[in-house]
Amino acid sequence: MEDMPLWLKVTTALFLGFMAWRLWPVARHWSKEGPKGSADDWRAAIVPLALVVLFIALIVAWLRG
Amino acid sequence: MRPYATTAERAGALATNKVLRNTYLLLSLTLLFSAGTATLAMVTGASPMGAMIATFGAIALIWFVLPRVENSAAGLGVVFAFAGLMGYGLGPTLQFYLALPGGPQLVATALGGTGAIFLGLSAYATVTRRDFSFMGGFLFVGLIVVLLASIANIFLAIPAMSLAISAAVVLLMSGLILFDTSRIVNGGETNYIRATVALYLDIYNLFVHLLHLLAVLRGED
Repeated sequence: MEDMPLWLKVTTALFLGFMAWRLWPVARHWSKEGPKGSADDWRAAIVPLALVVLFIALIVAWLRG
Repeated sequence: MRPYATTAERAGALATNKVLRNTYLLLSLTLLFSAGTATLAMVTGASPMGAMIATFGAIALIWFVLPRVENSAAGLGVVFAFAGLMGYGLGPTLQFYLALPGGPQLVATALGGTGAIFLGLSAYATVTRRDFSFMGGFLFVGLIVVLLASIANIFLAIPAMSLAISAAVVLLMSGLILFDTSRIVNGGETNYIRATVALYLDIYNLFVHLLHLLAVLRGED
């Protein structure tokens, strides 16, 4: 990133900013009108995500030898 | 409990299974096509600038063209054009990581890891048939936060921030795999072209950021 010319940094930043702007109505829709999860629902989502973290930690440990 | 399903329930289940089957089939084909164009970009020595233009073009296709053709056969052509451009855009990044010491092992590990995470999470959402749409608000707000942090880090260039962004993207994409798969399974998404693009982007971002994360954490990036 440091060696990118300034105009390229600005173009990339504008593109990412446009993506965030396009995502904003989607995020607002799901935040306001999406279903709300119970504690059990969140637990059912957090367990597989925790397993993903554990899996990546194992891969890193394996790569480091 | 009724010992049989009504005709409407059976029809709904069949339609859902068809969307899921078509999505996985199209996803497999588009990922293979992307692998081909990524190889082409590496063989022809595509420039980082060309790769960036290809990626911008791919995103423009799904923003401005796909919504007009997603219910017709032309949608398939747009999805393959999108996947081809995304693959081409990935070429120079792959070349960079492959040139590192132990690069081929690193890329293969990230690819295998991405495949295992996708298959595991997708199978979990399909088998449990749980509705993960309650995560939508959290995941999309998280994506916006990550995009804003990425913009800041283009100018700040802080390595620790770059690592934190990649870690956050890996978790967000894992959550989005649960979210997108459960929407197909529970009938929230009935268009397999849209479903394919959503899962493709989850896998693509998961792979790119897992690759970055593994390279940094093993001390080679």
